[in-house]
Amino acid sequence: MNKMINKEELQDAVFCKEKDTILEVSKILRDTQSRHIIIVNENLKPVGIISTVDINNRVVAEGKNASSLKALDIMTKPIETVELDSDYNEAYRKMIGKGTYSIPVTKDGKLIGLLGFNQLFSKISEKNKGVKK
Amino acid sequence: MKSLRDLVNKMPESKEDLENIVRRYSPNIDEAIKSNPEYKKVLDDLVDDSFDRYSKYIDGKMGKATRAISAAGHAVGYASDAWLATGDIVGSLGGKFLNFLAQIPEKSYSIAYAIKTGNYIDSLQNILEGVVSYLPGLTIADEGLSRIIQKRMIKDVTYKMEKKLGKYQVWHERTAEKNKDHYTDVKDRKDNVIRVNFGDEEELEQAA
Repeated sequence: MNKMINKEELQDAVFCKEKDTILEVSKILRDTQSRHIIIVNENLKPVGIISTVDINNRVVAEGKNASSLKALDIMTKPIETVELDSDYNEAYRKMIGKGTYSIPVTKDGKLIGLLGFNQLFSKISEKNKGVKK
Repeated sequence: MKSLRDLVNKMPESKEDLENIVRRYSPNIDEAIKSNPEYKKVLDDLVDDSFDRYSKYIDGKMGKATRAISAAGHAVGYASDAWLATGDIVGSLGGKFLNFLAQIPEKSYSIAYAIKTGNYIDSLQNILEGVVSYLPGLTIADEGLSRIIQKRMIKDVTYKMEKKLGKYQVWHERTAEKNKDHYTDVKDRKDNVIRVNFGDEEELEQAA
């Protein structure tokens, strides 16, 4: 059994750049029907995350201007990531620690996809199959 | 009709059915054929290919035998569901046991189908539906093996025809298309998406 995260198990990732405006970020979320977006720097390294709730709470409800604010101004940071080929347990610990349902996966520091909790959970179940208490 | 669900979502029983369902399923294909009848021939060829590839699972000797046994099992299952209404749970469970025995060939065939075609997801769904159908009152949950093959044929023909027409859309293109009617300045955000798994596309490419 392969215990390492591999590319076949990842999901597509929606991302934007740090300097994209919140207006643009909202449109990307709308056009892809996503609930959160990964923010990357110029090297495609994940540096933060923004959810639709973040935009509501940190921009709209605060009466701020979505056209002038940038993604880096409101993103949640730092963001936990795991490298491709790392152990599933590491992803599990990080997701449980942050209480998230998915985690960005990187290769040489660059974003290549997302690992969802369902996929992770099924892999961990497979690993533990046959292990007696 | 294999399942009561055919009443609301009929599956193809013939090449003509398959063609009509594909045209209804994909407005792109329907519009292309209306504007250029030559595409009808292309669709006919794809329907023939798909029927040849998948019909052996429906019309082959094994397929026919498992369908006949499965139909008998379903009849017993529905009868025991009705029997339950009389309040006789023991009688109903007896019927369910016969239903269970009759489903074994079909579920075995479902596994064989998965191994031959690589379509493990639909096969797993078929087996899980079978398991649920053993519960009193839930025979209706089982779609039967032929239904998953029919669904696969619809996907297969639609994918290949849309590819030929250059109309095949990945999820972000479809989402943008759908949103265009509701919002302003909607774009396909392909530059903001990292695609890693191609799901059905990859499976259908391999099958082709």
